[in-house]
Amino acid sequence: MIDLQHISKTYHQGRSNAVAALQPVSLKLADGGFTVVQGPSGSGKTTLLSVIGLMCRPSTGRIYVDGRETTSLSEHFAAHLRRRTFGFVFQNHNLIKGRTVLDNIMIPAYPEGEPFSRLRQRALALLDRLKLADKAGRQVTALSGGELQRVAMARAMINSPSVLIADEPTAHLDTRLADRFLEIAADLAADGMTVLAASHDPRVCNADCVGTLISMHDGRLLDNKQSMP
Amino acid sequence: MNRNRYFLDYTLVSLWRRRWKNAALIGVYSAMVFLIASILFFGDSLRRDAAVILQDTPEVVVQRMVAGRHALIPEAYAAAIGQIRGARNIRPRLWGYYYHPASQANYTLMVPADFTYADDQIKIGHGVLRTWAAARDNQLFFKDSDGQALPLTIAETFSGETDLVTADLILMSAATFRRITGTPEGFATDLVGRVRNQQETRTVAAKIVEILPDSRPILREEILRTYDTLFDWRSGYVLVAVSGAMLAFFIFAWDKATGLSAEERAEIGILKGVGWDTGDVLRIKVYEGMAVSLTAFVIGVMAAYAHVYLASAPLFDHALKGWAVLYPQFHLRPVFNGNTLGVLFFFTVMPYTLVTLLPVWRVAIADPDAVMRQLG
Ligand SMILES: Nc1ncnc2c1ncn2[C@@H]1O[C@H](COP(=O)(O)OP(=O)(O)OP(=O)(O)O)[C@@H](O)[C@H]1O
Ligand SMILES: [Mg+2]
Repeated sequence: MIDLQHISKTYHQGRSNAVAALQPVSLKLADGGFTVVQGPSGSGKTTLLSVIGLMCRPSTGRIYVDGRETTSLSEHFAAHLRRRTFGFVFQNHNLIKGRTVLDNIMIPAYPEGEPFSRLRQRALALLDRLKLADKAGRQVTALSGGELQRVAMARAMINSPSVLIADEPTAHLDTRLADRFLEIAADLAADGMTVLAASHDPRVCNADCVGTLISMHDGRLLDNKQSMP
Repeated sequence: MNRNRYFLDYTLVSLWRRRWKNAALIGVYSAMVFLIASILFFGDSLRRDAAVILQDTPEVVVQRMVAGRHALIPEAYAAAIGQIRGARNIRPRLWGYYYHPASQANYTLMVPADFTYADDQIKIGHGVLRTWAAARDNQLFFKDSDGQALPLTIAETFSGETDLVTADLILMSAATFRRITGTPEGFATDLVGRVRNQQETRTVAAKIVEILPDSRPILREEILRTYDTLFDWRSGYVLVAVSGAMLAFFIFAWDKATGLSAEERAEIGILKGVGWDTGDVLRIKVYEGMAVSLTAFVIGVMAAYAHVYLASAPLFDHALKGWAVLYPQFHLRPVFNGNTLGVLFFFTVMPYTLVTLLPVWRVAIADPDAVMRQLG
């Protein structure tokens, strides 16, 4: 359960170039299910996901993740919580160049320091699940767009997070690959993972598997279509 | 710990990935370390040799000054100084330099207190024989002060306690010395002596000037101090500090010029984004910096050691020694000085590590949310 209470975010606060990216927002996200945040460019979707995923601190308000207040955590514990609780699929994948697919997937788990053979096994299992088993030893620069995205998803899942956050996951994908993404996301949600995506892609917003659709405009939430009880 | 193994592993891949950049960096860096270390090692050796020389230096040397210049001193002064309370063993010394035109070299002539060979015999340092042009049948041809040829036979060559002291030395009898240099009977180059009580040296020196106003006493402690400051200035900590600062600045400038590339920034952002904390990111960067700077340090120090002690510092022959003609094969003995290595380490590895860490740290403490947006 993620509980946002009056969260706002202003970039460059107190300066002449201050940008109010999020107006005070309150929102509850139940565990499990597929939630999509939609809205025009600049409406604050990415900012909302960042704040939830502890990528940056909100200017005001509090966030509770499973009852635990996260906005006042120290950098060290915020990183810890981010690693354990959230998995990220970034808009442009952001894989680390010069490393193999397998290495990229395991990187988020390095600070945990678990035995290598176990970590490797989990990474290979994820690759298998995402039909990338034969790409394990490849450099990430030698992959197609769809493959890159699935590697990014595998990386997001390596620490078995309870929340998967994906920003514009289908931006660079053709329809067939976009469908493939939705399939995997729905699959994960069905397994009990909370999937939270931001998108203005109608293929995502109108997909049947999306449980909750949140609309944003100018940093505010609009009326939500709730299909969940 | 497993964590550390992962971070080390990550570092190794990073290093390998930028291997050309790192190789270039290590090349430049170890060249700097090499230069500084060479100077330091060289200074250590000279200082050690100087200490050995000075051990045998008399406590007081008395020179005579005429018109502000060092002049021959009457041997009778020895008796006068001997009367001063506390002064002991005052004796005249004969020594000087001899220029041999054919070899284009200066040699040091000296009359030891206990010279046991005949007047036409000499004892020499091994540097002499090596450089003396046309030495034949163990004979060296000198010219006396009237321009007459004077063949002297080599009776013995120094085994040499330190090469620096004896390399250019020629020992001879007093009579021969006077013939070659034209020093008249009853005069000496200077006087040397001892002081009974170390605390009295200054008093004795003052008394000498009082009774012999044209004399100038020189105390060993003054010489020691002069040597030390000389070496400190030339090759000591001041130099290290200056070079260290230069090195830091140089690398800083270089690093700024190449910058923390967009790719490196992105990498730091991604690592933080996927759950590494600032400490983890800094750790891999410290490992990276340490790998580069330690490698450069080891290469530079080893090269400097070979340069100074195996090859006898060819780079500094002319710059630092000044007696270059005489010491073409001057051999410096290795001195291991932990202090020197420590200072070197402190002024080379530390600044580099700090300087390279600074931009990383500035990126690493920022919120990682930039990774969510376009990073290039
Ligand atoms: N680091 C920043 N500094 C200043 N302003 C920022 C920063 N990041 C985002 N903004 C501004 O905050 C507002 C919200 O941005 P955000 O990226 O959340 O929008 P978005 O809905 O994700 O847009 P898009 O659909 O284009 O990704 C925009 O006006 C943007 O210009
Ligand atoms: Mg966005």
